[in-house]
Amino acid sequence: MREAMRAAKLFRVERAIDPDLGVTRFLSGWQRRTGEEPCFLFTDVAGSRLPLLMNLPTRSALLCEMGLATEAGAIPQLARRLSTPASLVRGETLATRELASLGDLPLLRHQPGDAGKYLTAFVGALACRDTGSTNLGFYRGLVAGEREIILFMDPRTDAHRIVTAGLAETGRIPITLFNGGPLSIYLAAAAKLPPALDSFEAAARLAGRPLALAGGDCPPAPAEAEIVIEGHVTRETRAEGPFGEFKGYYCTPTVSPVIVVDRIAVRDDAYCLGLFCGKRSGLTLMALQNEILLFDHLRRSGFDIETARYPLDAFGEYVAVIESEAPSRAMIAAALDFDPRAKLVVATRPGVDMLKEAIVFPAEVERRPYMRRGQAEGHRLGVLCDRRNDYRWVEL
Amino acid sequence: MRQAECLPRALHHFSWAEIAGLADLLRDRLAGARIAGVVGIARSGLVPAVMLSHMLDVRPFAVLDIVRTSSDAVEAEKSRPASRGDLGLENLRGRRVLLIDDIVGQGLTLEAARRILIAADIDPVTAVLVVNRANLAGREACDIVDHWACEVHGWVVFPWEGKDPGDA
Repeated sequence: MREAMRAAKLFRVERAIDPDLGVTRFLSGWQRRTGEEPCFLFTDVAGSRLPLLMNLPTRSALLCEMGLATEAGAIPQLARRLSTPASLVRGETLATRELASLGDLPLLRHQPGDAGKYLTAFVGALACRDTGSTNLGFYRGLVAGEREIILFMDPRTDAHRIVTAGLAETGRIPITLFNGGPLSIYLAAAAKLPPALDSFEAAARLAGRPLALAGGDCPPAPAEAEIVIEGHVTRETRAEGPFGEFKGYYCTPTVSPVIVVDRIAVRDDAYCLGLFCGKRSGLTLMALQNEILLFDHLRRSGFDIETARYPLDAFGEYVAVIESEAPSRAMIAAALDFDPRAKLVVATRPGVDMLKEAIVFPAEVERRPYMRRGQAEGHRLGVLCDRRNDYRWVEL
Repeated sequence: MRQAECLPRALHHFSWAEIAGLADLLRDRLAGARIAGVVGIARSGLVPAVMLSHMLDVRPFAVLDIVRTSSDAVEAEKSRPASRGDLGLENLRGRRVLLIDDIVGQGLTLEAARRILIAADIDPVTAVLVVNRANLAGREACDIVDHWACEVHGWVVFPWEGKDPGDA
């Protein structure tokens, strides 16, 4: 994260700002006025001594952190890296200063209808007893007390399976929630990786360098993490939600496990990274990991593709654009099979406007039912834009 | 080291919308500073100086002409700051003024300007739109300038320079 900060334009907001909707109000107002979402450093968030960073993980900042200076060839290179083993090493944590309460952190209520302050940019680490690996993921966590969090885990995730199985055997599952550290970890945490692949190793692979981890009884955290919360998931459940989701609606409340926090530690010079659901920085993480995984899958399946894109206009996950000199129906079918969340998959030639291609040239469509939580909900589409005729373009 | 490989290439283009936003952030900070005049450092410091003069509704205005870079090129060589004169400083004598430039790195230009104002019996509060941390040479930004709205590591291209981001 520190390298991404160095690569960013950091807009400093020194006025006192209320974590209860104040940051939201500021960011929304700025975006309305300027149409832009720069990275902001809020140095005076009421109730906390930690500065808060918003809008940091832009695409260029993420790529820069992983040593990629330009967009050109980045996705193929990251996909290659994901297949190349990388090492995890033991390090000393920089988060050594203990805080008494979650209230000491600049945690936000993001939207007026949210049930309270939520953790949105903390990565959760769980030990998988079956594989011996560490599972990382993003979970929304409602701050329920000075040392209590109600953590929602999607029942479809590996993390939910780990917690459910663990709680059936023991009354407590150790968990570490951390903020900061190399942003490749954020990418790995957002990605649906094979369960046997340790998420930290995936992060090290994506970064192309060893990753230093630190920790004791709880699952490890990156040694350079800004904030480390260690605790345990209990059998107690409580209501959390509603929460303003990134797609522009409030998710319905859930009954989710309570995490009891055992220790909160921060770096002496800690920043707190915030993520705002639905804004460019959060969506960028989603898009980038989707692009890497789809590209890797299609290349491994023998398709000659140049790149895969998940436009942010479609929240970085519902529309996939595959660019290839030889777009095909089989390519579209493989992509639809691989990513069941993608509602629209377009295969087209590189560097063209897919909408114009689909309109001007012959297009073929494949339609499948869209399944949401086991129920059919409309359809998914695959569109093949295949420019079979060589039209001569005459305009300069 | 990866960081060193990556960062020297950083070139930050600012849009006019971003400049307006940065000026807004400075206005916020300076609202209670009892500013009674604005001094812009020519050339580029005049842009935020005029903006802040309007935003703070402070009419008394002066110009300090100080040159540092040898050309307008990216990564241009820098020399010791040299004053080429001023315009209107005498009208600000005894006042608390905002001394503003577009960017600060080592802080030599700002320091030279500050000394000129103090020698002229003017009390400067210093501000810049952008701090370039890559040039701080181990110093803290707050040791160089009182207020700043943005920080970067790398060379900055402002919209008034007329360089297209694609030219980089």
